[in-house]
Amino acid sequence: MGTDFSFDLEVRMGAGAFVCGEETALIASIEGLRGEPRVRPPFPAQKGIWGKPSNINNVETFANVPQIFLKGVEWFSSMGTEKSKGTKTFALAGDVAHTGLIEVPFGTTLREIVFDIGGGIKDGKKFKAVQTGGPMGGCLTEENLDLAVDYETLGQAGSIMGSGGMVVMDEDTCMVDIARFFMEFTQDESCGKCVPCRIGTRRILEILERICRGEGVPEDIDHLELLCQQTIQDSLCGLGQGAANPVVSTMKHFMDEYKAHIYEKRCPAKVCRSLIRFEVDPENCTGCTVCARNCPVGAITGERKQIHHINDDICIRCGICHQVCKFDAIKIV
Amino acid sequence: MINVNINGQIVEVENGATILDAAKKAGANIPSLCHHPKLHPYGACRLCLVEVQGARTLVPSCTAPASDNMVVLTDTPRVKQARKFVLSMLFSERNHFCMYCQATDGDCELQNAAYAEDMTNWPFTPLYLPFAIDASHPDFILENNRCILCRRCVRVCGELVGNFTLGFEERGSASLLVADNSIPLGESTCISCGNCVQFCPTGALIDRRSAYQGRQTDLTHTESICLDCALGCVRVVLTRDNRLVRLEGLLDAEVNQGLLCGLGRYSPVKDQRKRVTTTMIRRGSQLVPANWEEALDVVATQLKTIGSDEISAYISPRQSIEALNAFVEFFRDHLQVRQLGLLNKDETASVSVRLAEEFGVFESDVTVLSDCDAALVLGADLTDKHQVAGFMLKRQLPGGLKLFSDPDATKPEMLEEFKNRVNEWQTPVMVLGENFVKRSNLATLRELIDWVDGAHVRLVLLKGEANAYAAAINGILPSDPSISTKLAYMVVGDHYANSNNIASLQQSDFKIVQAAYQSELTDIADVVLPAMNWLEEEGHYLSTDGKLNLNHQALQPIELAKSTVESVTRLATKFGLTLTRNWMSALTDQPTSITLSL
Repeated sequence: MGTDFSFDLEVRMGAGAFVCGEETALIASIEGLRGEPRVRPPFPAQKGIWGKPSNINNVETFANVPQIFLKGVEWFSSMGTEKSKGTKTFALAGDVAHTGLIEVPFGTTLREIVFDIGGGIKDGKKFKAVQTGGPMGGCLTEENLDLAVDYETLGQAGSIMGSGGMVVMDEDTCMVDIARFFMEFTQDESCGKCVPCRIGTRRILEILERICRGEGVPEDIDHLELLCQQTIQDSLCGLGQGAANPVVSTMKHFMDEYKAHIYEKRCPAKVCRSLIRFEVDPENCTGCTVCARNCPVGAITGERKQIHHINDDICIRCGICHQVCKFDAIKIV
Repeated sequence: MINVNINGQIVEVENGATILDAAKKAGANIPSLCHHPKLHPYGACRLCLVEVQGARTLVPSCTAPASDNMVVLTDTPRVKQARKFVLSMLFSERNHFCMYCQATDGDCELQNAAYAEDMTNWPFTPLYLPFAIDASHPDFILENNRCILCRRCVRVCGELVGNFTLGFEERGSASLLVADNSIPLGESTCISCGNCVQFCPTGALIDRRSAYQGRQTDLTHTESICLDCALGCVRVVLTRDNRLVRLEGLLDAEVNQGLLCGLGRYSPVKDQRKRVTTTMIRRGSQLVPANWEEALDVVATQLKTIGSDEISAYISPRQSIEALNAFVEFFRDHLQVRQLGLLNKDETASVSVRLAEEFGVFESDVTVLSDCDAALVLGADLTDKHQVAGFMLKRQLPGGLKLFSDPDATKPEMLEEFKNRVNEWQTPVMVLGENFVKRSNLATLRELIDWVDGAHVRLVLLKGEANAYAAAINGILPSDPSISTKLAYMVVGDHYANSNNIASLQQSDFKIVQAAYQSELTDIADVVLPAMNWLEEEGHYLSTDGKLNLNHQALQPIELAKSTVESVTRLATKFGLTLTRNWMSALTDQPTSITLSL
């Protein structure tokens, strides 16, 4: 740009851990140490990598900078909301017609993102929830669809911007399973330095796994609430502070699903393997034997042109029969 | 200075102090586990969380700096709930069966913290996953079932000792304390300093020899000085029923700051030698028990008959200054014995005294080694003796310390390189030891000290062991084993027999040995006088950097053993002599290479 300022750019590969997204853990990783967050203060701006003042930002943040220099602040501020200027990238995933990476100005509504850009829910299913921010974000439901997306509004609605993830979920999603899924991830990625995250997330995951297996007990709800609240409050870094968000959020919006799992041993969305059964619908079954021939464990019996039968004791709930049946004769109950 | 409000009480602390520091000053007890006053604040256990007015959430007091007019509440229900949560989580993580742990009922900081929160049982059931025990190390056992992953041991091993043997493998709830690349501790790079065991808050690291022998409150604590080298590390001697149980480093000691090396911590507890329990006189080929009077009479008769130039007298550097003083007064001043020898080959102490006559003070405190940016270690093996000085240097390596090491003093080019590059560094130091500081090397040494005078290098000379320096100031030099005399009087004390001192003794016809333990020396002696060991005989020691320390008596001596001062004094009475020499003024008589703090 006409000055004689120049610099060397060095690219360092980390060993690959989610927790190294935390800025002080990132510093540790670059320095060749275990990726664990450090005490702050001192903040990286004062004492960062190798003790030197450091500026740490995500690639997306840095990528915005050249545009601002080249096109000017006014241009940049002309997009977005009052508090969040410019654009944001999102990774739109899940049960929408068009998944992929998108870039929209702040203030775009969730409805626009899910239904216009995303093309709406696949296969004509109903919208259930959209989980934003990655593994530490909360769920937004139908009542939030007209939310103008920016940092503040997402926070107020009980979620976070986080990594820009947007996972759209339809009616066939079990929200308890979602909570378990995200907790499995964060628990595995916990660095292990602090007690609340290392052990708290483990205890939370164990309870969620039990509930999904149909072994939930009434005390689990209270325990989950306590564990989540304390893990969020007492953890050292953002991972622990956010790990319980999916659990808190799903318990807030979908408590009925938790209760069904615990009290009725039933998974309303028919996802949790231990709580579902595959049955042949006698009204639709033509006896074509396709399901029996595809069953990996030989759980389906039946003569040609006769109504088939699934042996529940052998069935492993893999779902293959349901996929291959052309007559909608396999029902999940 | 800033003012901090702790539970309504205002305390004044320095700028930069943590909330925990301020609370301690106010007398408010905030529990913690991963925190240790000698380690960099870590903030991992989260037990020390407190409420701070205006803060978004609970604040970890061990790491958060206090600010002026900050209002801190340390015992609110919210704080207590968080503490109970942390402790509940810890008890649910591993297998904390208190009933048969050696740290139970007082020595376990986890248990103590739980009792302080009125907890009496585990609120969450543990998984009961068994963890492996590593019992491969000769001095301590690693019991992973009791580990709370506070990392104090890892941090001591790295931050303070600079050895970096202990570390963690895996992450999250699979994290495990391991040695090196996850190999048995007994096969690892562990140098057996035992500092990890001392710093461990629970019963996870078990000291093999002292486990189950008593809680801290059952044991008597006596401060004493380590005699295995000349650094003068302060050891706390833990005893029970007049028996040595364990040694620990004194946390606030200036030199060692709570650390000990493997020699200082374990050699006394590993000592298997048998005591000399009674005075003995040789009759024919046998040593026969006698009483003190008889024995001293025999010795006195021999000393009076044989001329002083046919007598050699030796003393161990492990003897106190008071013992040394009596020895010098009786043998040199009164009996005019010229062959006086120190049972040590290290010439550093005596050469430093010689050089001080020419140069005056040219040395620095040992503590300069803790804060330097370049160091040359010449003629000293810091992995063997003076290890704590080695820790001070090793732990600065990650911070960029430039370390040059020539333990056998065989690389003059290294010294040249250091001298040529000295202006690259702000705080360079040189550590010189016995393989370089020798009488035969005086010319090189003079040159070096001349050069140091102009450069900004701090010099540290490591002067042998225990009281070698005090002996040198009193003119006792390392003994010459080739001297042969008619009589040798050897004040061995608790010194180990070795080829040198055996050779020295063998050179004489009549051998008098004053020793605490049976050895080849007492085996060939003509008269054996039972002596006290360092635990029993109180006395002063002068460290390599001139600090005067008192070794307190920690054990009652065995029945017939006498201190060196007493036995020499009683011997002197046989000559009609009273010993009056003042050891304090004798130390200040000579010019010394470092200013003595007496």
